[in-house]
Amino acid sequence: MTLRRILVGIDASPFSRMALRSAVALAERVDAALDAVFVEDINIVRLAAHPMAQGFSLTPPHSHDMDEALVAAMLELQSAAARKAFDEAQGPARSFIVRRGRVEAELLDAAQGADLICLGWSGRAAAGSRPRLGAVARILAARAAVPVLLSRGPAAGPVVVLWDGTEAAGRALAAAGRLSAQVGLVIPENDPLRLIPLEAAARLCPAARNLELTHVSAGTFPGCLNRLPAEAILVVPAGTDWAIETIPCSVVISR
Amino acid sequence: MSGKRIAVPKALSPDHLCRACDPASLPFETTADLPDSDEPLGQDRAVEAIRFAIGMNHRGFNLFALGPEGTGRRTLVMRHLEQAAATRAVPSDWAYVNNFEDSHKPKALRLPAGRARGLRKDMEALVEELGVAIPAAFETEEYRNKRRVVEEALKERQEAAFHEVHEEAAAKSVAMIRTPVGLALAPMKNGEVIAPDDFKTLPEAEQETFKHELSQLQDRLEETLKQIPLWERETRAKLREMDLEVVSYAVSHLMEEIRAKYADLPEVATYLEAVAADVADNAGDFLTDESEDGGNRQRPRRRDGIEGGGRRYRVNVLVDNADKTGAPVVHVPHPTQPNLIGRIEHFAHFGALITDFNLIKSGALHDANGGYLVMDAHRLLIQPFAWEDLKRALRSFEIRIEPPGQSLGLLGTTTLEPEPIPLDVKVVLVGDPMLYYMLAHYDPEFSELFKVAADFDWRMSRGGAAVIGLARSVATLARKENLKPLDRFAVARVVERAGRDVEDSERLSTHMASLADLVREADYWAGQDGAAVVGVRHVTQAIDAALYRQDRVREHVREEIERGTVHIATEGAVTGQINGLAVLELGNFAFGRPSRITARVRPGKGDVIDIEREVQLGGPLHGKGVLILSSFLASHFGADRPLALSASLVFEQSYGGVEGDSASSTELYALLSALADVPIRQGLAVTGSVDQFGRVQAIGGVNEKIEGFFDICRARGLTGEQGVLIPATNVKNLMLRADVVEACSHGLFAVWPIETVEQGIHRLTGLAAGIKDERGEYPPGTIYRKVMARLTSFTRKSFENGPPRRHRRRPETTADNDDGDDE
Repeated sequence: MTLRRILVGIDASPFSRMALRSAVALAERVDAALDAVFVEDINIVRLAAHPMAQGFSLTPPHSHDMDEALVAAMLELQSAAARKAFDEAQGPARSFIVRRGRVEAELLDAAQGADLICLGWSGRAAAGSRPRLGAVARILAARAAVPVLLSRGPAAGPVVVLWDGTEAAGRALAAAGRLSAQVGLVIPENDPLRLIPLEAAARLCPAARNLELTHVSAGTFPGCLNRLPAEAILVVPAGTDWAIETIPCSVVISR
Repeated sequence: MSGKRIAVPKALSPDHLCRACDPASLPFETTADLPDSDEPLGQDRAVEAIRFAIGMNHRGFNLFALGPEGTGRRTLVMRHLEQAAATRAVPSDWAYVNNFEDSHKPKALRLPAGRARGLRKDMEALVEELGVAIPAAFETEEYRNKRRVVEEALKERQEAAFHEVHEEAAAKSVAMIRTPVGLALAPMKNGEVIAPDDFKTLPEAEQETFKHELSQLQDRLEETLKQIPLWERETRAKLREMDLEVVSYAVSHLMEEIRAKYADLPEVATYLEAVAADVADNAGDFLTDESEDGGNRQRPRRRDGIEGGGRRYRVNVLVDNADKTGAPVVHVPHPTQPNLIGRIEHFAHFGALITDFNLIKSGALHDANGGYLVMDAHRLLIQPFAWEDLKRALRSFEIRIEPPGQSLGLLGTTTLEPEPIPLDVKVVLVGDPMLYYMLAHYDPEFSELFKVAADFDWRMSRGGAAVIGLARSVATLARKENLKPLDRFAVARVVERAGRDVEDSERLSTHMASLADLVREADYWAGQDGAAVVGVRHVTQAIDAALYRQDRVREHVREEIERGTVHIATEGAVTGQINGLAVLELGNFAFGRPSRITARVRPGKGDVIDIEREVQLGGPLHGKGVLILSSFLASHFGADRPLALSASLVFEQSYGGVEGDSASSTELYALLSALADVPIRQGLAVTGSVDQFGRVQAIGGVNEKIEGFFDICRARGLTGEQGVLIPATNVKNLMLRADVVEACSHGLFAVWPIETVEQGIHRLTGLAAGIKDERGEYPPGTIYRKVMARLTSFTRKSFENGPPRRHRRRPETTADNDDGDDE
């Protein structure tokens, strides 16, 4: 039931570097193999060669013709930067692969056989900002067959589960158990009379066997999440209807 | 007829030679018995003028205290000003503050006395408080959240705009893709960009549709992109407004507190309004640079250099009257232009000299505003720009600080134009009379601005009150300077000295500085003597010692006479030779020196040649005296015939210049002796000027002259035949040394008061001058008869020889001279 292989998708953006760091830390903690993949976006490659394609610079805003050679060079640079970042990160046994195709498709394909996919929260936002969830991250969070870690910062902190006593929460607890033997509980309940039985239920849950549970915070949802440290990893079950973007730390979407 | 005689005056009695001060008339034993006296001596006119100037509150009634140095001008002026100032209100405080609209022109604030200091402290405290309150306001969760909302709104707006284009593109099967070099649009099929080769295989119509739609979308996208900077600007404006709101709220309670405190002062209230507005505008100045919130780049930033920080909110208190109880009286010892009207300092900042309102420094005019300013006129006038700037301030009733170089355009660096401060001051200049007269003559503005003159006299009438006043001044001085008290004999001696200083037996000197020196020196000698009280011998010793210290040249002159190098006869009788008396002045020291004057006569055209004048050793007054005596001769003896005389006069062994007419009677006596061929008694010396009628007139330095001749006679041995002839009008000036008076009282020396030339020549020759009888002739045996006879013989001779040839005149003179000697 433990993690054996972790895949990290990197593109040299600030958040993808954090995802890489999180993945390395995780791989070391659970002694898993680490694979990194850089995907050259086929759309960009094609677009650059397309006679009708038109580019728009954002700073300052103006349109220009696409320069195939420039785009190729930029992709080359990006790949090299991703490789360099991967090489610099000390870690366990690993490999670096470059693929070409549609990014989300290639990542899903590369994820076959992996136990966890690590991705940056957003591909283009600057470090330190609170960006929206990137398009690729969104698609993978929805479609991947394996758990996906969306890294918002260096996810080295406690593994946390939002425990509301439901079956989905039980699944999340199980998934958290695979990341760490110590799992924190965030309980969306203000009333102490209900809080205590909820916490007891978590300890009685089969998934909690062999786990050391700690109480992290409680309160009304989603305020109780705001108190999580930035380096925490919150495990949530797939298919929940929460707005993932409101979570202030890295997230693992479990299957 | 011949019985008519001119009375020859008798020698003066000792009591005329020096008016002693009778110690018995002084109603005290020592000066310790006398109370202090602050009253000035003999300066009633000046005191009246000072009182008038203080009382007159109209334009231009400033005061010029003129008088000789040492008459107590400044002390007296200061005393009166201080008395007047104590009864006047304490003037306002003044401060310079920043002008937030134009920092180049700082604003002047007037505050009631003592409140400027408080405002400065309050503003310092305010800035300190703001330094805490403003960062705290920016660090609240509330502010951060508000800010985030605004920032997120911008993001959402952008995203929404892109999303719209994106959706539209997707609907038309066009991909909008983010590339490393920006956004791009391309035809898409099944979520993938159509490969260029595949695209070419599409039917022509489909390709055209794509092209058309791409172009439309490109326009849309371009338009959207153009909006973004606009939205960003809007967002920044919103954030700024929010910052303003936050700051206004944060500072409002602090400002309220200080505003309430100064609500009674509208000027200050206006200033505080400006401060509040400026703080809100420049809140960044109160934030530290090392922001804890690293990501929050939009927060206001602190400005660099002196613009930032609390300097701009400081209060530069220029005039602080908090500790005063009346109007100020300021004496400026060194009245330079900056010391007078204030200055603007600079400091170096990265190699440039910069300044701000905090570096404005007050001048004496600021300090004295509302009161009195006293300074020395001479010191003021020698300082560049000081006099002109003082006049400008007095004329315009305001103090405008302007560096001296600024009006000349010499200052290359930034400087300020501080708002002028209204001026209400009474200026007192202290100077000597010459300066006053010159200013009045050459500076037309002077008389407009200094309408009152306090004229300090250097002497006063010698009444009983004046003597007692002088004694009290001496007593006050002795107490103030911790000197030994003077007994009444010593005081009497000081009084006599005060009379001698002004050479007048009916006046006393008001020059307290020199009398004070005499008292201090007497105290020194008393100390040397081990006496507890200063006695008359100490005062005399002080006078003698002071004299001795300055005496070297006089000693040399006397030696030269005693050793015969300079011929001065004090015995016997010589024709055409007489002892004149001159005064030599060396600095403050004057002494008399006898001078041998000789006259030779011969037939001629009526010229009296003054050899001093011929060689330009005689001054104009001396020349005038000689011409007057020529006129006397001509009118006396040449009324009905030409004066066929040529005479020459000389100051023997005189190698410097001769000035003054005090020897004109002396020269006349020598001439009369030469003409009458009657010897003059050499034991006598003469001084006095003469008019055209032969009246002897007063001269100066009579005491020194008499003493000078007395010293020579005494050195050679007093015979009892010796003495000095002085103008009768000079008797009141006699304040002779004690030894001279003593010799006179024993009949060893004499001083004769002379009214006319006739009296004088009688005394000198022993022969009467003679008075014309009704036939117009002088009686036989008289001087004038002999003179007439001589002149008649000259006339005869000149008729015998025919008119003298002009070009031979000078060689003839020598020959005639010898002839004259023979006659």
